[in-house]
Amino acid sequence: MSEPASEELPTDLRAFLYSCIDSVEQVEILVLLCRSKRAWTAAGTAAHLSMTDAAARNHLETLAARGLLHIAVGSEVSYTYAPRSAQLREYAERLAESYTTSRTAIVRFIATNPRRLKQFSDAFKLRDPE
Amino acid sequence: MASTVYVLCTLASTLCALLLLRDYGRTRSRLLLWSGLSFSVLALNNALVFVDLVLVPHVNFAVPRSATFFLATALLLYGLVRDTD
Amino acid sequence: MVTFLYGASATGCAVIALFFWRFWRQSIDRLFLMFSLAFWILALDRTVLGVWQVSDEWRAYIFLLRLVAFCLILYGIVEKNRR
Repeated sequence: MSEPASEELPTDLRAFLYSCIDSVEQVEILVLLCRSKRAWTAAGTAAHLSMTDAAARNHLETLAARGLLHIAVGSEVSYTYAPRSAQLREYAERLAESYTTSRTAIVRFIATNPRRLKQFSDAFKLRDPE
Repeated sequence: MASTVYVLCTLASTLCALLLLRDYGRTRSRLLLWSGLSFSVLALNNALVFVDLVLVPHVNFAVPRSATFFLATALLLYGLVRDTD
Repeated sequence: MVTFLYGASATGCAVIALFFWRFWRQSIDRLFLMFSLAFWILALDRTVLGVWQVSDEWRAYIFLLRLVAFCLILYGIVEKNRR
């Protein structure tokens, strides 16, 4: 019943994916921002990665809420790669590296962990979630 | 001793039910609805056992007890099969 | 009737436990492991009740199984909130 492909990914990277990433689009956005090291708008991200503006904005906001991106409000809202802690930075960078070598494993891991499981698990957090 | 255990079990299942149904209110995720209902019925089952033990020991509650537990199981199983790919 | 319900519940709990086991393997979220173990124990609890037809479950200390199951769930919740 276990997924052999997921076992290629190290346990802590899987834990990072499980806690901070909901979809493959979010991985792509995170990798894009991590590599380019400049500010991106939602529209710019959407155009670059072939998704709708609304979807890009939703993912960017989620990643920012999880401490991976910094939001700057100017004439437009822009997002920069800025992990809140050294640990997040390390995991994000490892994810960006792994995305070139183990993309299938990452995609498969995300696909086998539907949002609903996370929702079930998150329901048991007594404090109000982020 | 046994009555304490069943009170604890009632409280624990009530807690689970409340947490799940609270988040169902927020996210409208159906898995949370079914599991929340399941734990509510499980809490009812635990309360029934307590009632049977302490309040009306002369009456045989075996059928309602086992039926509520089965219902809780069925609700959770239905939710798991239906709402987790 | 009661024996049937115990048997059906035992099977149901075992299947639920298998679901949670798979969720744990997929997500490595320990909460699912706790739920899986708890439901395995509840399946055992139902089996014992069904096989030995002990109608006075409290008198036979079988309630301890239920206590363990719920303690596992509570432990899982506590652990989740500690992180």
